[in-house]
Parts: sequence; structure tokens; C-alpha cells
Amino acid sequence: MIDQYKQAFQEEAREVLVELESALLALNENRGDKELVGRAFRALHTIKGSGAMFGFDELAAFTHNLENAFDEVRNGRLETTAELINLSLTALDQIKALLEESGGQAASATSAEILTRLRELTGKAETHPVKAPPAAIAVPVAAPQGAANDWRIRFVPGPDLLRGGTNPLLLFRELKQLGKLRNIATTATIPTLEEMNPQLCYISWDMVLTTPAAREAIADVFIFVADSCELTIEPATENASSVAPASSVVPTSEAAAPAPQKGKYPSYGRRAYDSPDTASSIRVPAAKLDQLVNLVGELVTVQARLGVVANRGDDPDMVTISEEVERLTSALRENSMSIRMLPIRATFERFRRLVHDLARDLRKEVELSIEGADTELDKTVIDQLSDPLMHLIRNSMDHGIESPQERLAAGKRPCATLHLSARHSGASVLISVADDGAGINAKAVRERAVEKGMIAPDAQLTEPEIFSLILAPGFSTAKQVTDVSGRGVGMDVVRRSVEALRGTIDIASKPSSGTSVTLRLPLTLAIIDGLLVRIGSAYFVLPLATTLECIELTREDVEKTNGKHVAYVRGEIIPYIRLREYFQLRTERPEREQIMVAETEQGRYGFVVDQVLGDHQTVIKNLGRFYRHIQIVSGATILGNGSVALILDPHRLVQEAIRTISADPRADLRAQNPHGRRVAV
Amino acid sequence: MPVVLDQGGAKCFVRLEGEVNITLAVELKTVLLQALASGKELLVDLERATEVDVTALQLITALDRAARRSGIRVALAGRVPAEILTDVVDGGFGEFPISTEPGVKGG
Repeated sequence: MIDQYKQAFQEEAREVLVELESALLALNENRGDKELVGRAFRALHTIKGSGAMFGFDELAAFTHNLENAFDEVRNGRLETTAELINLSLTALDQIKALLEESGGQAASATSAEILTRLRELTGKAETHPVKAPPAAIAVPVAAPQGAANDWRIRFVPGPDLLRGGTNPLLLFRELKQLGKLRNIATTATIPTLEEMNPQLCYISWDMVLTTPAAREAIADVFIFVADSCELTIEPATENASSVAPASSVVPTSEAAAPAPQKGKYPSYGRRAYDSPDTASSIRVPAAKLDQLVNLVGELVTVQARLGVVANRGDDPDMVTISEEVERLTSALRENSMSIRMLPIRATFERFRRLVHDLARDLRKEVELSIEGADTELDKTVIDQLSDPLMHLIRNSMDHGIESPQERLAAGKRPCATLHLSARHSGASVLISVADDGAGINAKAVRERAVEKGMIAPDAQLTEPEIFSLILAPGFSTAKQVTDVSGRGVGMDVVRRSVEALRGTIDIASKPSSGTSVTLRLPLTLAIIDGLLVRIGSAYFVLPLATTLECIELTREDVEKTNGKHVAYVRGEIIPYIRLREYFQLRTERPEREQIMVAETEQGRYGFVVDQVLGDHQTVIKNLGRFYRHIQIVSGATILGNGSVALILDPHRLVQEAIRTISADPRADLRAQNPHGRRVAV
Repeated sequence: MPVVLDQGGAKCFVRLEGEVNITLAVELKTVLLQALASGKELLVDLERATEVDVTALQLITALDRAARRSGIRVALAGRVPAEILTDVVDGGFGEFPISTEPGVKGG
């Protein structure tokens, strides 16, 4: 089997394993739920069937035993116990290892050990899938017993079914294991040899299956092609004989083929395509998407140059073309960025398993609740989010959440709640991990920080500042190092990962009520909508999503406020930061300046600039290691005239300004640059 | 070679070996079109094939129809392995899309 199909199987199997894990964890909480048992069984059946088909024989044989166990559960012969769920989760990890084919002999030993435990649990001997010819699907269940019924089956594969590596002939072999099969292929729809795309499926099938098996068992045969076919299964009545035994009908010509009977059968199962030529989705390697976004980024930069050149000349056609290119580039940019946006659901759902396993290991009771799982984020951001979230959850479960006994003693429910949530906020996404545990002991954190020489014993720190100390490298108040956490490594990893994503961390905690850690992350790391502004000959970009309005600031206005850095906007006092002074730009101040009012985490603030040049599609370029510690600047972009503009982070700018004032109450927003250095622009 | 075209003699032979599945589909179509273009009597040899999937059956069905339209004789050369024939019958084709050449023992 060529690698392309093997890889496609591995990718799909990984998705099915996520589904299996989610079903098992949900089943752990609702033991009697037959729907969940069915979900787990179907996932196992899919993995086994397609695994055998693509040459993953060991994986198929291993999964076959687990599938049998769930068949027993499905038929009420085996109870869903915590032990079975835990063993199934261990088996799931083993299936993952076998899928990656990385196990070798050690993997075989683990498989054998798991199957031994499974046998002890089910009281059944290990079974092997019926040995099928190469590339055949293993038979899932023994031929059923009881009175036989006729079932009429219509199977219309989607055109791409064969491309996915499915061979329908193998499905029919499996159906034959259930009973007597009479089958007719509709071949009239096969085009001429010249016109045919040889990899597409043009045939449909009408069958009558005489079997004591239930409809569900028949549908299970088609389980892993359900997304790419139209399938109807209904009890055959007196018309059953209308599908004659295949041997007596040879529909090899247009005249002999039965006419398609659309709408005759009620739909059973999913129909994932609308017309034979429409594929609802395609798989694209992530690297190709990255390449696409990089190219769009380059295009946006070139388009900006085109705009400058067009506006410099006096050719109206050139200006029109430039505007058209700008419109198209903007649409292309939005489109290509939206392709990379993924819901955070898969990342969140993965933590169900982590919470389950940690709760078991730490002997704690924890309920995980998830909110906003459909919130979308750039794929790159999501990829890098898994690690910090994992550390936050481990920390919360190890240090924050108390044991059931401690919780009862504190008048709480013995079962703690861990809440994972995601929501949009302007151009950012807020991701929060909150628990109802013991909260952070600010006094202990402070004492430890003093002990480690991180702060002076007499340092005046606010509560959020004390909490932020736990993000420092090597900081831990844990009395003992456990397998889970306590080495003081985790939170430092969180800080570094979030900073690498240009994000920020907020920690809120109340003694005995719990702790909430919120990550503010940018929606994307590639291109943003910005507002281009100028101060002297220097250009800056402010993110459009945080910008509210632009107002004029005259010398008179400044005099009216006695030089204080505040503006009155419709009765509201808005403090502002003069970027010329902040960046120590020694250029002449114009008569009239502009205040860009932005919504920040600290409220509304203004940023004073010389001129607002307009909106700007901003391709974010990293500034490199030299500027790594300058957090008020989130990157740079290349303008149409070839010069560089810094992209400012309004939240950080305001935070830094407030921090400076807190540190030196005599200072105001007048002339501050906390780093005391000029920024090259 | 899993797909071999031999059109040196009076008849044109298409020999298929091993797993004749979607991985060979594009190549098989090209070979069948070449065979048809030769205008000679066509013989398809499946004796060494171990598997024939739906893509191959579709192509052979289309070959049979195109040959009939052009007045070209097309037949199976030799025996078709029993396992393949079982799949073809269970797959609703009734029997193999093309028949055995008279005088040659069929499968």
C-alpha cells in the first residue's frame, strides 16, 4: 500500500481516537449511556477495519479485542466499570503507539499485558480477527444467530470513496459474513474509457441481505465510509425478490442496468456530499497553509508599494488598478487567514483525559467544564497553546485543588471544578483556566520570593504583582516535588510560551475561593488590520481592533488642561500618552496633533501622534532577539515606501506607563520612557 | 511490471499482475487506451493478478464497451483466479465484465 494512503489513514485514525477518548471519558461520567457505548464501539470498529485494510495488522488485532469487549457492553453482557474505562484508556494509548508504528517489541509486550488484563475483566479468551486476504477488512463479529430477515440495502458511494483507499468489494465480503447476499452493481453510470477519471467511483449497488443481524450491525459494516456515501437500509418486504440473485442479472450494458430509483428509500446514515462532483472538504498539509499566508504577506507588502507608486503618478488608470489590487489583496488576505482559523475545541477536549488521569493519580475529585470551545484561533497559536495550558491545569490540580477531605472540612463540595474557557476580546482571545480550589497564598509567595532574593524584604507590591512572581523561573512554593509539579518549571514555561505568542498572563486569586489564570493571546501571528500613524518622519502601526476613534488635539486644548496629559471627550476624561515624548523623537511638534483613542485592559487611553495616515494591512515581522524585551512593540512591518514601521501594543504601552507612575508617583504620563532608551525607528 | 502491454504480434495483450488497484488506475487507463488504439484483437491476462478492485473493474467494463462500439474483439486470456471471481460476483457484476476467449480455458 502506498504511503499516501497509509498517511491518510493515520490522520483519520488520530481523529477517530480523539472521538474515542471523548466517548470513554463521557462514559465514565454516565456509565449507563448506550449512545456513548455505541460511539466507543463504532470508533473501535472503524480503527480496526481501516487499520486492517491499510496493513496495520497488529493494531487491527489489538483493537479487535477491545471492540469485542465493547460489543459485550453494547449487548448488556458486560458492565461499564471504572476499571474497564481506565483499561480502555490505556489501550487507547497503545493504539496510538501502534498507529505511529514506533513501539517495536516493547509495544507488543504492552499489547499482550493489556489484553491479559482485558481477558481478566471480560472473562473471555483473546480472539483474533478472521484472517482475510491481503488488504481485506477484518470481520468484526461472529455470524449472528436467530431468525433471518431480508434487508434491502442501497449503497451509493461518493465519487472520492476509492481515493480514500476504500475498496467496496471488501465491504461486500464483510456483509457476506452476516448472511446471504444478493448484489447488483449499477454500471450504466460508468463513462467512456476516454472520459473516465480512473480514480473516481461511478458505480452504485443494490443489495438484498438475508440475515438475523439487526440493522445496526449492517450499518456498522459501512461505518467508516458513512461520511462519503449515501446509504439506505430498510427491511425488504414483498418487493425483495425484485433484486434478483446477482448471477442471473448481468448489468454490463446500459439497457440491462436497473434505472436509479431516487427518493425511493428513506435515508439512513449521513449523506456527506450533495452532488457526485462536490467534495465538502479536502485535507491540506499545514505547511502549505503557512506558505500561502507567507505569500499573501509578501503580496500585501508589494501591493502597498504599488499603491504608493500609483498615487505618486498622475495616471488615473494606474490608480484604479492599484485600488482594485488593494481590494482583492485584502479579500485574499482575509480568506487565507480564515482558512487557518481553527476552533479551540480539540485542544480543550484533549485535557479531559489529562484531568481524568491526574484526578485518579492525586486522589482528587475534579469536574472539568468547558466553555467557548468553538472560539477560533490561528492554527499557529493553537499549536503552541497546548503546553502552557497543560502546565496550568497540572498546577491547578496539584497545588490549587484540595483533596475531597480538605474540601469537606472547608465547607466545600468534595468534587472540585476546573473551568476552561475561551472568548474573543477585540483582536485577542482570552483563554482562562479557573479552579475553585484553595487559591494562591500571597503571603507564602512573597516570603518565598524574598527568600530566593527575587524581591527586597521591604518591597511594596500589589497583589497582582505578587501573583505574577510565580511566573518567574524556578519559583515554587510546593513543599515537595511531585510527579505532577512543584519543580517551579511549569509556570516559567507558561510565561515563555505565552510571551512567544505575544500574549499576556493575568492571575486572579482569592483565598479558599480559587484561582483564575487568563491568557490574552493575539488572534493571529501573521497579518493584522492596523492604523498607520506618523510622528515626525517615524511611522507606527496601532492595531485597528483596539482603536476606537481619532480626535484632534490643538495647542489650546493642551493649555486648557494646564499641560496635564488628559483630553475631554464628550464629557469623559481620557488620559493620553504622547508617543513623541515616549520614544524621545526629537522632531518639531505640529500645531494640530491627533489623539488615537484605544480600548485597553486598563480602560480608554489616548496616544498622541502627528498624523493618522489611514488603515493599513499589516504583515507582522519579528524584530529579532535584540528587541525581545521591548514588550510595548509587538513587531514591525514594511511599508509601501520601503521604510519600517513599529507595531505598538496599546495594552503594554499603558501598563508600562502605569507601572512607571506607580514606581515614581512624581512622574506622570508626560515624558516617560521606562527603559530610558531610544527606540530606533 | 504490474501492467504490461504487448502489441508486437497479431493480437494485443494486456497483462495484469499482483494487486490491480487504485494505485495502478491511471497507468491502466493509459495502457487500455493504447491497446484500443492498436485496432487489434485485445486479450486481457489476469492469471497472475492477486486482487482486482472497483477501479480496475470499471476500466475493464469501459474497455469492453469501447471495443464493442469499435468492432474490436476483447476477451480474457487464461484463467481468472477464483478469489477474484468471487469478489466480482459478490460485487454485483454477475460475472467478469469480459468473457474468456473461445478455446482458452476460463476461470
